Amino acid sequence: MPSSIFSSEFPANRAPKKPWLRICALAVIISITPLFGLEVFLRRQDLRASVTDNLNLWASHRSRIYGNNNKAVVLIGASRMQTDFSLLSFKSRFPDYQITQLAIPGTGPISTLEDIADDQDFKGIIICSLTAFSFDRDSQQNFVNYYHSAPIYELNTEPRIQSFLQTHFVFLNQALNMKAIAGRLRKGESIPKTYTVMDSDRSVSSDFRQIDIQTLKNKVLKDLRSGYESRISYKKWLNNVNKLEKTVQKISRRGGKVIFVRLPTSGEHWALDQKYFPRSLYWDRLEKLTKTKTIHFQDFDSLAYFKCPDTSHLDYRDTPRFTNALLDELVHLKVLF
Amino acid sequence: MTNLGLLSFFKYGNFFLENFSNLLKTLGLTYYPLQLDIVLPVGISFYTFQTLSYTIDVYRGRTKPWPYFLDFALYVTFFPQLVAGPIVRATTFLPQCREVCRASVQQFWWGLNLLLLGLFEKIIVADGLLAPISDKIYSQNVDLAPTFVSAWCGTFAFSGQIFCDFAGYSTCAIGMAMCLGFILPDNFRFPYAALGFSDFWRRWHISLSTWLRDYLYIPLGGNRGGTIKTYINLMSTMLIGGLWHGASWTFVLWGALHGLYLVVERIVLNSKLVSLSIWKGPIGKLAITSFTFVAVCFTWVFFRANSLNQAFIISSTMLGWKYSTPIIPFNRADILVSLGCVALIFLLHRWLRDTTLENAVTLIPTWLWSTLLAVMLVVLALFSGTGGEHAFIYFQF
Repeated sequence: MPSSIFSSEFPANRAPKKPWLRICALAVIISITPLFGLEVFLRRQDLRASVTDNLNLWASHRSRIYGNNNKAVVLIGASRMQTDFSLLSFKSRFPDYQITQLAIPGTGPISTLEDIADDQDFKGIIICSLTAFSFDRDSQQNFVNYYHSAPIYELNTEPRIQSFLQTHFVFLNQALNMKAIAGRLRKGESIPKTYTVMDSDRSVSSDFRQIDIQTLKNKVLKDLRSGYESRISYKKWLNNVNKLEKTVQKISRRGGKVIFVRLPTSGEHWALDQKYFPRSLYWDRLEKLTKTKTIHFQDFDSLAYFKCPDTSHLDYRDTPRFTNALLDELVHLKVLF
Repeated sequence: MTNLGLLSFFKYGNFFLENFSNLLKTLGLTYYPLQLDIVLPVGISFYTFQTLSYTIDVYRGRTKPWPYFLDFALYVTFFPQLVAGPIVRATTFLPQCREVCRASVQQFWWGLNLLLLGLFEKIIVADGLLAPISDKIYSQNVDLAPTFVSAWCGTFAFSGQIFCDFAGYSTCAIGMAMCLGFILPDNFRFPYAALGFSDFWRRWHISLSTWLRDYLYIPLGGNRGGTIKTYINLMSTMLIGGLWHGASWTFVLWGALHGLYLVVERIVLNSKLVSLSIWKGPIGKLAITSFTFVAVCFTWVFFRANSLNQAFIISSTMLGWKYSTPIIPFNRADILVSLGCVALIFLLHRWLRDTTLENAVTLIPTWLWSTLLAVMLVVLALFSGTGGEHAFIYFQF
């Protein structure tokens, strides 16, 4: 290149003359050694690699829901949909279908459902995990907004590379706080396990053997009680469901399908659900008002007998059997073929 | 007209309408402008100025019109610098397209080094360490006021963040271009070691400041027209420079402050104060550098604040005013990290002020530079996800 036009204000003309190959090789070796050592150490502690969920990853999956028109299936909802539904079991049983996991923990799926209803290109099947409490929960609107504003290049390459690396390396698991781990090791304490692991397809497996179940149960129930006590009024809830009916019709009119699924809760959780959201007032009304197919776990022995260790989510060892039982009902209802 | 028209519409359309409506309101007239849902194209401020420089240079005869459209398209859309600069002149980029560009071995490896350094500055220092601290002050409800200490620490944190974010991006862009065989100009030259405000603008966002100098300040008359005209030209240039950054009065005020600094600096330089020998010694220079740094940090309040109200609350707190509204507390860790990082950046800039990064690296032993690269790689691998996602600050311009 013509160097005569460039003065020393151009860094390329000042590139230091050093043995770069040796420097970079040495840098790579020095950096790989502690990372490799850390990876081995973390795996020996029984810690697992997990993908970090974020706006980008969700938006990347949202951009790929279309598939082969009515053979595209989208799962929406909250954490129960991520832990209780096995995508692997679905894919092995229905290899012709394309399935996408768009559930987001701790949120209500209405914004995502409305967004897909407005998306004329989607004519597939939406399996929506819903509870009467879904309308009270945090909205998924910021994920939807991000999807619509993110540049296309951000939705493709970075989430795929990030998921790939995070699936293979434990030290990239963001749930493992390195500072906290270092602190515990200094005190001679063991490293706390993370009981949930997310895969690159956004499904989550929960291994409740890794955690103190009673502490987790107490926390879940405490948060639940305070949430339920400040729930929206029944009138407002009915208004929301009426709006939902229009959303469902938008999808049905263009050949798509929506099915609402009530996934299992157990023990004190189910007792609280019945107390604050009696089925006859809530779920049964939802079914009538939205005029769409629904599956409530209590209506089927094959689904009702599963127990949630933390009262709210299935253990990963139960997920495949639960998924197959649910798929049987979906076939029976002619949602899937 | 087309270039500036497009920039005006996309970037300033809603701003002009809103202010026009407010002006009419103060005159007692009611006007509700049409709400335009204008999506700002990414990098529009940068490539508008870039293409303007080509148009003006051709008009002035500084360069001939380039005969090959594809080369010109590459000049405008070259991806390393498309979104946030450096603003490259046609006279330096287009000639590189005459031959097939190939980086030398030295340039390729150094380019990779710069890429790593830039990523480290942005992801670890700017996003990981400093952004959470500055966000405590600046992302809060505007009715909350910081304490004197937290206002200064939060602003120092932002001054470090914006440098590492923007210089990090520029370093990545220059490194990436170098790997591809293209030469881009320096955009930062250790600005926090500046001796005075003119020196600051010779070191901060160099591609923009030279653009404003060549295409605005000098055509307005520069310093040829008497003292008052010079001051007016300086102030006008800085006001437009501020507005270039964003369609908001806070950016205009930021530009105005820098204009005021430059004017006052000229007045001081013309006075007898400057001839005192104390300013030429190391202590004098340290005093000038430190004063310049603190004064520049003060202007960052207006650059970062979400509204004029927030900018006034924070800046007045920094000048000693106390508010009775609930305060934003800072813990010891925040203070240590913000002051520590900024002190380190300040010292590094002071050390490298009269040299270049390349000269410094040439003097560093091979094993030490390898170790530093390795440390950056490991820290990036372990901590790159923990700072939260922050887009490059200058992407919004």
